[in-house]
Amino acid sequence: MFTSRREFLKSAASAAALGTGMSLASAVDARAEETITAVEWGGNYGNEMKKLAAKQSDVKINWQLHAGGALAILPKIKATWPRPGVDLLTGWDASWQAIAREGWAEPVTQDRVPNLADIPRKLLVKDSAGSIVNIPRTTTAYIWYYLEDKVPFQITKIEDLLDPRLKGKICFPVPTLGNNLQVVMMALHNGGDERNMEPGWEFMKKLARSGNIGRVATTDVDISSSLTSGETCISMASSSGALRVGRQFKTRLLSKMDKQSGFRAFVLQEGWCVLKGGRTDAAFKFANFAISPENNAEFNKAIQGVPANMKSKIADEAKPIIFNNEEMEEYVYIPDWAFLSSQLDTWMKRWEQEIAPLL
Amino acid sequence: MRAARSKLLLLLPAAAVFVLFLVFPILIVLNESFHTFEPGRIGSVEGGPLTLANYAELFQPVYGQYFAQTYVLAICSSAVSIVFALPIAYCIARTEFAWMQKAAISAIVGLMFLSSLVRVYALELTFGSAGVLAPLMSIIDIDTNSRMYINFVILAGLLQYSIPMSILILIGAIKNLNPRLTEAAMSLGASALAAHLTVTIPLSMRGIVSAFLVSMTLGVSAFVIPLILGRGRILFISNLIYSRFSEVANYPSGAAISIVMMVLALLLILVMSRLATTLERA
Repeated sequence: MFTSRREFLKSAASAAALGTGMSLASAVDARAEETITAVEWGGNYGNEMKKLAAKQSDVKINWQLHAGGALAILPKIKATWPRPGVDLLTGWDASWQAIAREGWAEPVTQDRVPNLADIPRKLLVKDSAGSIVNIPRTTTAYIWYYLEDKVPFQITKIEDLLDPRLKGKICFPVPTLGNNLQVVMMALHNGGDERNMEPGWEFMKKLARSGNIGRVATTDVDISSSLTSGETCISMASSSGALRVGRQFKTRLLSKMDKQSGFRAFVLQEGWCVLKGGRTDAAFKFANFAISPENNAEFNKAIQGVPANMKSKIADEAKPIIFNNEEMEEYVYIPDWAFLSSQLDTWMKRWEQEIAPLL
Repeated sequence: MRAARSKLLLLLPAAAVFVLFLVFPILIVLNESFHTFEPGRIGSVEGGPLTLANYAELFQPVYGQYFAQTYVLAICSSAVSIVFALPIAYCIARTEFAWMQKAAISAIVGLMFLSSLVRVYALELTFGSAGVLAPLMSIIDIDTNSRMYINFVILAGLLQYSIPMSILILIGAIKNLNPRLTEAAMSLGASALAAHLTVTIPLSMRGIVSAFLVSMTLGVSAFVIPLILGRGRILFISNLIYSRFSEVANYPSGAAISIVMMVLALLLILVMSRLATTLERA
C-alpha cells in the first residue's frame, strides 16, 4: 500500500493532523453552542418557544414537555435532586412558591439577565434568602369563559352556573389545576377568601349536586378539548386558552365582570426558573434572549398573553385581559400565592372527600 | 445435595432481579407511607416523625367508596370478560382447522398491540357525551351525563383489555382438557349445555380463575381508562395515587394508598385461589 517508509509517515502525520483538527473544531462548536434541557408547556406555547429558540445559535435546547400541570414535574425533580437533568423550567406563581421553599432556584440577577431591568419588580418572586427565583415572560389571567352559541342564555352571575339548562355543560378544573382559584372565587363571592374557604366549598357542593359539571379537567388541554368537541361549553381557564378557543368559536370572556356577579379575574404570571446545579449560564442566556422586548412581544402575541417586558408591544387580541389601575381594583383579585400553594394537599383531599362523590 | 445447590445457584440471578426491582422499591414505598408530609413541600419531611396518619385517613367511609368503586368495576369487567371469553376460547381451541385457530389467535394477539390510548379515545368518540352515538342515546332517553352511564363506558373500556387476555388464557386451559370427557357425558344422555356446565367448566376452573385474576389485575390498576372515560368524575384508586404523588407531591399519602391497594389485591388472590380449590374438589 505504502511504497516507502517516508510515504507511510507522511500519511500518518496527515491523518493525525486531520483528527486533531476535527476534535478542535468540535470543541469550538461545543463552546459556541451549549445544550440545555428546558421543560415547556405543549401546544402553541412549545411551538412558539421553539420558533424563538431557532432565531439564536448560542444555546441549543433539548425540549421536554410538562406532563400535566406545572406542579406535576416538581416531585420528579425532588426524586432526582441534586441532578434533576433540567436547566430551565417553565412555571407560574404557584410553582415558584414551592421551588422557593425547596431552595432549588439559581438566584436571578440583573447581571446574568440584563433584560430583567424591563420587567416589573412586582412580578419577581423571592425565596427565604431574598434571592429572585423567577424570570417572568407573560402575564395572563385565570377567568371564566363560555361558548356563546352553545349556552342557551347569557351568563351574568355566578349563580347562573347552577341553572338546570347547563346540565353537563360545565368543564370544571380540579383543584390542582389553577391552584383552586375556582373555589377561591366562590369563597370570595360568598363572603370568604383563600383563608376562609367554607363559603366556597358550600357553593361548590351545590354546583356538584346540580349535575351541571360534565367533566372535571386535570389539564388545560382537557378544557380546550372538552369545549371545542362540544362536550361542554363553559369553563374557567387561563386567558391564553380562552382566547385561543375564541379564534374558532364565538366566546364570551367573563374577565371584566362587576364584583356582584361573583366572577373575578385572577392575574398571574408565567415564566422560567433556572435550577441549580446545571448549565445555569446558558439557561440564563437563553431566558434573557427570550424576554427581550421584541422576542417577548412576538412570543406573547402568538400565545395570546401579555408580555412581561414593559417595553414589548401588546397584541390587540390580549386587550380583554389587560387591566388598568381602576379595573385591577374592580375586577381582579390577587391571592396570597404562597398560602395557596401550601393548601393544595388539603384542598385536593377535600375535593376527593366531599365534592367528587357528588359528581 | 449438589443438585439442590446448583438449582439454588441458577435461581440466584432471577431472585436478585426480583429483589432489586420489586421487593426493594416496595419496601421504599412502605417506608415512605409512615412518614410525615408537610403541606406545600415536595414529598415527606426528612428526619420527621413516623406516623400512622396516612393509613388512618383511609378509614374514612369516602375512601372505602373509592376502593369499592374500583374493585366492583374491576370484578364486573372480569366476570363479563369470562362470560364472553369462555365460548370464544372453546371454539378456537376445539376448531378442526389449524389455520383458523392460528388466524384467531393472531387476531387476538394483534388486538393486544393496539395502543391503549387509541382504544380509549375510540370509545370516547363513540360513546362520549359528544360522541357519534350521542344522538341515538338521546332518542332512547339515555342520559350520557349520568354516573351510571359513565360507569358503563368505563366497563366497556376495561373489557377491551380483559376479553382478549381472558381468551388467550382460556385457550390453553381448554386445550389441556380431554374432549372425550365432554363427549362421554353427552353419550350418557347429558345435553350439550349440561355437559359443558358439569364437565368443561369445572375442569377448566383453574384457567377460569387465572383469567379472572389477570383481568382483575388489569381492571384494578387501570389508570388511563378511568382518567379519560371517567371524565374526571369517576376516580379509580390509581388516579388517587397519581394525584397524591404527581399533583400534590404528598408521597406518604400516595404510598399508604398503594400499600393498602396491594394488600387488598393479595387478599383477593388468596380468596380466589381458595375458592378455585374448593370448586375443584366439589
